Amino acid sequence: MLFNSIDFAIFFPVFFVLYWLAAKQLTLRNVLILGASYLFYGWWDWRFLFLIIFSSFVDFFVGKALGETDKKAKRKTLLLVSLISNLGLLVYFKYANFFIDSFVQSFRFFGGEIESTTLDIILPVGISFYTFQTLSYTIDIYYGKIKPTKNMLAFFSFVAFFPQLVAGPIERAKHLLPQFFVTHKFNYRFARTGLLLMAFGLFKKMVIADRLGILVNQVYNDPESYGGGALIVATIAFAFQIYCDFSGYSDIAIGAARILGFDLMKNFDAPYFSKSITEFWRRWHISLSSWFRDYVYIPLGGSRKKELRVYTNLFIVFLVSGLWHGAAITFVIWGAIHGLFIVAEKAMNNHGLKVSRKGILGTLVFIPLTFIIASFAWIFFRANSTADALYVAKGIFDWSKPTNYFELGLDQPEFLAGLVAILLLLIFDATHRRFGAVKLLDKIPFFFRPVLYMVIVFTILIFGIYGEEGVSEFIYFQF
Amino acid sequence: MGQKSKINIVLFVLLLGGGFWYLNRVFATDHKFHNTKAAFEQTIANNEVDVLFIGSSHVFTSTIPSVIDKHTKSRSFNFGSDGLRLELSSVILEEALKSCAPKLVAVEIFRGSLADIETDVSKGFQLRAFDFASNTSWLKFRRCWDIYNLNELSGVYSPFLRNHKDWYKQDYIDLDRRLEIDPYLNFFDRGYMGAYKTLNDSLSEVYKDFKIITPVVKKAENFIKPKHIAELELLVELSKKHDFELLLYTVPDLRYPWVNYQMYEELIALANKYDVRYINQNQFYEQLDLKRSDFKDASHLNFYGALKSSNHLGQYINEYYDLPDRSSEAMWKAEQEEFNSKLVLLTEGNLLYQDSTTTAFTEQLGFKDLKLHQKLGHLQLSLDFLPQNLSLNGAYILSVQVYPKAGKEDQLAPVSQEKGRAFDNLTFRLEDLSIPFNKPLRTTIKDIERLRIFIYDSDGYKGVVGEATVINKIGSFIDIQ
Repeated sequence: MLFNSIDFAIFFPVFFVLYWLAAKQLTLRNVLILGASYLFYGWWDWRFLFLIIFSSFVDFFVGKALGETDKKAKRKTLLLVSLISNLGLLVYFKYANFFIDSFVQSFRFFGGEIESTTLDIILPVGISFYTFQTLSYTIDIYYGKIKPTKNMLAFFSFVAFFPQLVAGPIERAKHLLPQFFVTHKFNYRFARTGLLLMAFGLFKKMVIADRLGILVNQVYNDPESYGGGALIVATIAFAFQIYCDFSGYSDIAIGAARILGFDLMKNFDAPYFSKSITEFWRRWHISLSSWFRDYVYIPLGGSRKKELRVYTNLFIVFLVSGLWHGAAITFVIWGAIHGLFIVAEKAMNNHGLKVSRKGILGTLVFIPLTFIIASFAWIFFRANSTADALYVAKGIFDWSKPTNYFELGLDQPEFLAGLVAILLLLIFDATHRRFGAVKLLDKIPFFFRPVLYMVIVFTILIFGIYGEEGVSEFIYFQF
Repeated sequence: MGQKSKINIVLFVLLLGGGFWYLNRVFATDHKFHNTKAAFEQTIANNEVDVLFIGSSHVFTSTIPSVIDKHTKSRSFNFGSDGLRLELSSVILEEALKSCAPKLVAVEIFRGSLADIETDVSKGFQLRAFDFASNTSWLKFRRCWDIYNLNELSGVYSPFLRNHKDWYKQDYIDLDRRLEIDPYLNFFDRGYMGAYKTLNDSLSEVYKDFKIITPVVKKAENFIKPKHIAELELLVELSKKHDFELLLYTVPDLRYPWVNYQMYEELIALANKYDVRYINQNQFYEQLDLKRSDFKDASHLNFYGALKSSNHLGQYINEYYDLPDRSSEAMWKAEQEEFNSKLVLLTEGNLLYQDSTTTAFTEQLGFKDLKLHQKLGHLQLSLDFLPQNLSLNGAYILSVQVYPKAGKEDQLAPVSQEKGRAFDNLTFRLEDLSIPFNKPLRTTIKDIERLRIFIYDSDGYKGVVGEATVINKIGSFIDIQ
């Protein structure tokens, strides 16, 4: 079920009423959450529910067994069971064809000839998210950071919690699981901010991301027909499309959870105001960055190793992160570009070449510079193939083809609406980061607030892309 | 939750409702059914309505309420809507019954109204009826549920959600979405909207044998499907509940000979089963004295055809149904007078120019008895060619150039304005001169300065053949707004 669909618009209010009616009875409430979460996921394809149930079973019992033994060998074996089960699912469903293709390509590169057959596999929605979430539970128990739960219902609800099931934030058991053991009391203020977050997420998704997506798809599906101007516009448009698509999903997820009294972690923090790529990754997809930090970078030795090893570790983390985003070489290149810049920034800092990024000059130079680097990397993320990506990367410097910017899929009013929406987004991001949107909202006289809410609702409904064009999926569903 | 929060929620809900109400009007599409709705509201505000006609564009182009009323002495209203399918009849009727108590409801059925609603176009046409019905109607919900996908429902219920993507094309101040009806091109009368234009020559040729009725071999499959039978049963049920009589009817359609007779046989059987009358006007072409020139296109009558069809139907209703006599009511008389004055202007016309003398184009070809009439909304040129026994076989084109008075150049047709012409140019291929020339001049100019008439070779304009004739001192149009 998609957050921006009529199905969800019916599902959520019905669930909201039932949830708060059952809120005082913890077991009943968790049964409702689990049932609704499975319905939410099964709406897309019920067969893949078995994967979530399987993953939940494995980690619940592995976690329980880890809690009952101190024997190192047994604990390692149990951890291995969890890793193989979860990563096995991920590798099979997401990477099997990629590895087969890559193997065949390599073989041919060295002059060999091999028959290529790929598997007919559908990628289950959200598999990258919930496998990482369940893995983190087992790993945390293994390292003694948390105790295993004995409540199977609470654990299954934690894994399948529908607001964040298919595209995050990737929650840690330490933060989210305890919330399934306490009853929540309806809090108007909490619910109001939740609703506003949902509305803001829908604005990002429907008004900005899906509008820009029309332009991006037109140009990126046939890049050779366009000149430098169009390719740059499409690349910048994609930078905002993916930000609004993904952070929009996170906002709706956090908002929906908040309405139900749950607190989910922050996933984005105005990333395009970053002054370096290192800072960008502290603000972009925070739940994934911190997951890789805690479960890949630190186990590899983190920053405690020798300098070259640290750089290697960092680079590996970003290569893996690229691969996590998609089973294609373009995603690996995207990860590698970010890895290179992170390593370069780290090396500069380590060798006394740290550049001051403070003050107005720092803002005016490094925010645009970071945005340009991130946008350049997005070329590889969005392009349909490596050849297309390389063409776009070169093509942005070729200005020989004239560009009519209103013939890139968006006519003049739609193009301008997209620009105004981006401007509003940047103003909101900057204001929220500096002052806090909720604090500002509280300063508005209470009788004006409904007018503001109404304006938000109708802005989404008037300028959003939906209806006959169909509801568009969130980009991050495929990861 | 505090008092302020409660006030906030109430205010928000009210604003949301108000906002939707306003935006649903802003984003409503311009179409003829808005004119019908407005006319219905105006009619029921002042008067009772005794007869309702419900159906597709066939109904709104063929059944003129004032003509029906002339025969029945009652008052009728036409709810015809483009592309309306039979199963939507009850939706319109249910809404209409909230504000009137008719004694007779005539529902049109033809092959098209029994077609499945599958394409976007056919789905779109039904929205006119759905927009008319209240969003709280259970019947509307059932029909919508049957016709549309789940993700289309929000758009079906709200023109705003349906058309939001056209946000930059809307008028946010003027919320009147009625079609602007040009009285010089169309005639509007309580939901009826007919055109004066006639079937074009090529279609006229295609349907020249329209009186030949060729029975078609029966097919095994029934035309009238269970959903249509259910609709008929619902209409019968409504007729009993609201105490009105039900009439099923089919209006003239040039495509009739090609339509399978089985459908009409099935309809007759069903009408007998439910004890309602069914009249198929396609079986009365001779009685109606229908000509091809009575059609606007292959399946719709023009105003002249509608007069014939309505007179026939009015007589039929008067013969078989007992309706209230309102002929003594002042309002009824006023309605009839207004209609009759327009009818006189249309049939007899307003003579704008007359010249009985003989005028020559060339030494061999000329004309006499030239008349220019205002026929309600349009110009009608008639003349007799000399010699009358000549067959030109399309050798010449007759050109009539209509010049507007100074300061009235805005009345020129858009194509004339685009080309920078000072006149509207109407052309006619000359064939058999034994038939008197009597043709409408398709121009939007009402304040006419002069007419220039001449002939030229039909293989391309190489200049005027012979002499051009200029007509000045043309009379004034009677304003029929």
